[in-house]
Amino acid sequence: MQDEEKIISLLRDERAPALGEDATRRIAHAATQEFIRTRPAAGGGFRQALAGMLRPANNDSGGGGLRAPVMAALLLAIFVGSLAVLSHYREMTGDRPQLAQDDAARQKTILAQFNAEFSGRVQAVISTDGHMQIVLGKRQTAEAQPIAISLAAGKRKVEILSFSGENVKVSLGGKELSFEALSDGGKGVILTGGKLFWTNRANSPQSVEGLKIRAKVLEM
Amino acid sequence: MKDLDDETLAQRAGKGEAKAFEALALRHADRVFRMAWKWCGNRADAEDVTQEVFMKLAGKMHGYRPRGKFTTWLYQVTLNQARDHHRARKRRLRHESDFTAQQALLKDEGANDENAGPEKIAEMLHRLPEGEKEAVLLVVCDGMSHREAASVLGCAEKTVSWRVFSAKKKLTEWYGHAG
Repeated sequence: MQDEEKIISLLRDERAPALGEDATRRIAHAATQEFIRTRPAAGGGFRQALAGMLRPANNDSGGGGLRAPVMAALLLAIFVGSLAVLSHYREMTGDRPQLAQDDAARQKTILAQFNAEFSGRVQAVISTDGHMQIVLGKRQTAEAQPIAISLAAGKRKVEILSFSGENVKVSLGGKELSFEALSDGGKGVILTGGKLFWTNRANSPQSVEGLKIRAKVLEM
Repeated sequence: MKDLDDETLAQRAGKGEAKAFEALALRHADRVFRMAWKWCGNRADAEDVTQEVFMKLAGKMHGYRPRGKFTTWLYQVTLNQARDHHRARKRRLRHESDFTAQQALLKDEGANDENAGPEKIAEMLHRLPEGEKEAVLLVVCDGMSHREAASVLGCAEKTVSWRVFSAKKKLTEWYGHAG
């Protein structure tokens, strides 16, 4: 018994040396760089999170994981949820487009979900007077910044979720509009195309070409 | 960031916040290193394992969904990495034809760096089967409950209890013979 106590005492004895401040900082810095390097770009977060949830459980998977048979049910639930949120937009009335702060999270989710569903090929999700359209194109660049745009002409309204650099074509109040949605890398959004040039800067007009416009960058 | 608990930081890191990830790494690097040191028995390997653990976490944190304490997961990753590192090292040794190089490595393994204290107990710890060694490291050295250790090791609480019991028995026997 004495031996056992001695062994336990020796094992508990904090003999392990400290890592040291320099090594700690070096390791933390290198890992943080790797974290930033592997951080999913716009749309990727949801895809990766979904992949993590569906990954079979193993000892060091942070997500724990759901088993593959749940996949179909999960995707279906996500899809139905997306439709429910989009239908909410369709029911919104009034001539002032709404881009409330709490909508941003839902908009990001919607865009990320559709983008994940269509392998990063979503150019825009357009909701026009009760009709939803998903515009697909070539695979987007990883760095594309998601943007939410609201256009209103009288009582008619279009809600667009797209990515910086994408060309958006919509029909509103009898007008065909084609413009490029651009992010300035910060919170600024520029819509440009044909006679339309609009930015979301504080001093820019909220109405251009008879359209009430609002847009914001959806920070991922 | 310093005031936030591990779970909050991990969730923020899961959403892509680099500062939160860095705070976790700074907070836990020493803990991981100490565990790795006890597993590997030398500083160089323990530092390698620590680096590998955080590089691995950097890739795995995105989309992190908490399923328990962050530190439980951290211990799992650390032990897995220590095992992998040790196996890779053994494979390298097996293919190493230079006898003196092998001897140097073996000598280094038992050297215990600056803490040359009770080498005997460290050497005996490394002779234990992997499962028993890890149970001892978590329960005896790190003071975890059997339940916590079971969740880290992914086995039943009773298994941990048995492994600790068996390990203590072996260590006591070896210690007696060696003395």
